[in-house]
Amino acid sequence: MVVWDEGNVRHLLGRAGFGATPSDVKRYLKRGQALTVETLVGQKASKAKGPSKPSSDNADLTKLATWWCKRMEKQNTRRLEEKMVLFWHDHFATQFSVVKNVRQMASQNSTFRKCGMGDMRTLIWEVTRDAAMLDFLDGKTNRNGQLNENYGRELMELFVLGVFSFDGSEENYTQTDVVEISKATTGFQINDKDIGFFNPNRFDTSQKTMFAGKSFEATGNLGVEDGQGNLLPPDRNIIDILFTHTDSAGNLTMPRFIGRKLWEYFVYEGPDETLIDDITSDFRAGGGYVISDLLRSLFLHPEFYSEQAKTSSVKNPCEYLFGAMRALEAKSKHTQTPAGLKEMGMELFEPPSVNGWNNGLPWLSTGQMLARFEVGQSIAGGRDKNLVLLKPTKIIPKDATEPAHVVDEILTRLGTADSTPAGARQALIDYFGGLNDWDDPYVVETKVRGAIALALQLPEVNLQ
Amino acid sequence: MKISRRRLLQGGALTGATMAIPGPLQRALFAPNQARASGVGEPILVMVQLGGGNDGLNTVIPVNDGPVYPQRTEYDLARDTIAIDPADLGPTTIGLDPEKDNTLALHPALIELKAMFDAGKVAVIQGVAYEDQNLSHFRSEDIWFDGERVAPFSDGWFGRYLEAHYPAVFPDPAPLVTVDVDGTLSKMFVCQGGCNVLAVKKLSQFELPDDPVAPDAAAKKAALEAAYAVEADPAATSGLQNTVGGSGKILLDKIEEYEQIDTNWGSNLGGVSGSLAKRLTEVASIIRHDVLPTTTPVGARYFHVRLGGFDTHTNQGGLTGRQASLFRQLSQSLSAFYQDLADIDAAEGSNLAERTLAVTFSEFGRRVAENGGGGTDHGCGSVLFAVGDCVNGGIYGTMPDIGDPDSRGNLKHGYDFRQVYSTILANWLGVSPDPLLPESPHAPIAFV
Repeated sequence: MVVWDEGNVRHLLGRAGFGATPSDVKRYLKRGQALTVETLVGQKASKAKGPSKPSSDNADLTKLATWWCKRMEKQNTRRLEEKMVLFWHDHFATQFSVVKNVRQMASQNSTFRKCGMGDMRTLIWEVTRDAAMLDFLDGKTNRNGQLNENYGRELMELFVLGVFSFDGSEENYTQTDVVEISKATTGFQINDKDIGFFNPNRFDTSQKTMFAGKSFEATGNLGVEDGQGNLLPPDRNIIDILFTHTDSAGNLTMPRFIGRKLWEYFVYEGPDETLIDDITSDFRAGGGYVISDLLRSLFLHPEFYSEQAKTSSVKNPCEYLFGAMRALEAKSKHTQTPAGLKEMGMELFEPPSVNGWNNGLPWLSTGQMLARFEVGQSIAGGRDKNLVLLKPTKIIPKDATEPAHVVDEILTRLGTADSTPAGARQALIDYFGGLNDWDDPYVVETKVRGAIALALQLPEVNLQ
Repeated sequence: MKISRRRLLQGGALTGATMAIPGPLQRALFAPNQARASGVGEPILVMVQLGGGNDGLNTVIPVNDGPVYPQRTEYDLARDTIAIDPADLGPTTIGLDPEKDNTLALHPALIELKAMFDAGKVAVIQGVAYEDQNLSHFRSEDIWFDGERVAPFSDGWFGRYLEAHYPAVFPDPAPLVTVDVDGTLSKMFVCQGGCNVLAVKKLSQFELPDDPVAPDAAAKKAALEAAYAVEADPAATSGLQNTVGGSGKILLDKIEEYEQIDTNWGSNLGGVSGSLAKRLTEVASIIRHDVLPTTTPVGARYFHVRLGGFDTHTNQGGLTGRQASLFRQLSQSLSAFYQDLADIDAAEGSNLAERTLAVTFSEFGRRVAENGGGGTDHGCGSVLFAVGDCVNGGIYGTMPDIGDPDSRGNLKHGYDFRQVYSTILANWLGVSPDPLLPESPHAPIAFV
């Protein structure tokens, strides 16, 4: 059992959500590790849907993004749910510029909220018949006699299996498998209410063979749905068949693929096999594949609280922005937040490709680092609730007598007090030029806000 | 294992670097501006990425059948709705295939490139790919960025060049010669030791932010510089912190230089719509800045720009449509870019048009046969363009035999893609390519 201290609370809330307010830290410290993790993973799925209409208007998309930003910033017990919505949006990356339909994007977003921590089988099924996905990866044109391989390929490559086995030594599928799975996923269309559905008349009813020559080879009239809205039985259902895929040593591919992806998203790159088999053990048990079981194991694993786990990843723009707002108790109506996220390289509903965003160091190329400097400055200088409202007087500790007290309070709230080098901390203190009259508007409005901007521009606040 | 270092050792490091300097480079070295600052007279490279996998067979198109190979007949058989009618190909006909002897034409939307081709400023390089083509966008893109066919991605081919030829020793950073005009950093620039590469989103907004209500810019900049001097010091920080600290220090060091660059100088590119023209305007602005008489040169000359959207699984279109409109952007942007360089040269007495080589690339070509949705699925063997006053214009390599695809229905290829890199490294940058490219040697192609 790890020592349940403020550092570990901040670490968990930073990953399983978008950061912590000072009162979050107090509350979850008292609650203890087991109960905190259970609070995060054990919530009933929300049915919340964003404002949407059948529109291709960018302003309507921004309304949807604003609605989602509010949830990411404010959700309390359901903070992990919103984090998982973002994870799945990255995993099943779909671009509005291709889909051109706000209602479809909203409906996909709500599917991630409804199914994002539940049964993996259901999630893949919902995504396969999701209207935005059918548009984005051309599933709606994939029909008997007129195959389109786009969705079938990505279903294996990016969504369920990966190109290679865990250790990179074996290719998971062949071009023949891409053609066969494309046949098995024919027949999906979008109706006039922008909802995806299965049309048996467009389904390729031929015999298909997946993974020919492997121990888990499957042959028959493989597909997804039966025409009455039910999944086909496991021996004919392509999702279950994908889930039976193993490497040559018999290790299941999907749990390792999803387990590693989640570990790399939440913790660090390059986890070893044993660790991933550990955190997916409950997930695999009985073929249940319930995603919250995987998340519980991940957030309770001792390695999640290791030094490496706390220092080896780069915050994505949502984590950076909402984390800073929570830590500094800043408020916003988020009308401009989607634009800020876009500048930092994370335009919601517009991931750069079907492979999602390039997480990690690419977030901090010099160009995007400058965008973070700008967002940090906007938060620190926030005096308008429509944009950002931050009250510097709240940040100044009551007993503060010198600039160091204010600087340390800022760094503590941001969770960077321990990681900031002494020389960098000193640079922030020196920035005050010795001024310490906390009733002087110049000190509060220029220097305290300025020090907050600087703290939001240091490397540490971008790392976790 | 740091693969690039091993390669360097095995390849005998820089022993090949003293090879003969080719013509254009030699001219460049003795150019009028070369005395102004280090690097100013040297070759410039712009890598233009066509993201998504460009369909090569509708880029360079067979107009008719050859004496042995019925290329046009096979093309028409494979492509119901997206084939371009020979009647539309007259204005963009570029000549005979060097081996198959049938007539070839560029896509009609590439009309400006055709004009440059006629002026000897475009090399068309056909049938470029690698053995055992990977049809995943992301894996194949990694292979192109790396130059290595074996996973995992380790470092970029150009990153290895930078590391070998522009080494850095703390606290002296390597000279900053590379700019990625895409906001983020292309993997082609990744190197093991962390290269000094600037990623720029918009030069016009390239300045440190300040609080408009309570401005305090100078004090904040001083504090940031003091903090980042510590953050970038390996004695004070390590790992990620140090990497990010180094990146921030580059930004702070360079921001004053780069914010001086004028991007609003009435370029021809300004009249071209689309994102590629905007990005090439940034490139042109940077290299223009370095030849103006009153500026301090920034010294950047290796660039990467990207135009996405080539993943045409549906509605690829023929004469018009998705691919055609991307080609229109590509053709008009590259043409305007070189017109801008020529205008700058005329005004400033520089030789940028001669010194600048632009090369297109894409992660793969597309399937020979059209699919059910009026598009094409992932395939092999695409076609590249090398553009500039410096290139030896013409058609290089033969169009793969359309009637004899591989077992997956994809084109076979003649050139390994590393031959293109090898050409750039040897013939343009004047270094030995072998230590930098796996499975060397790769025979250069005479396009430059």
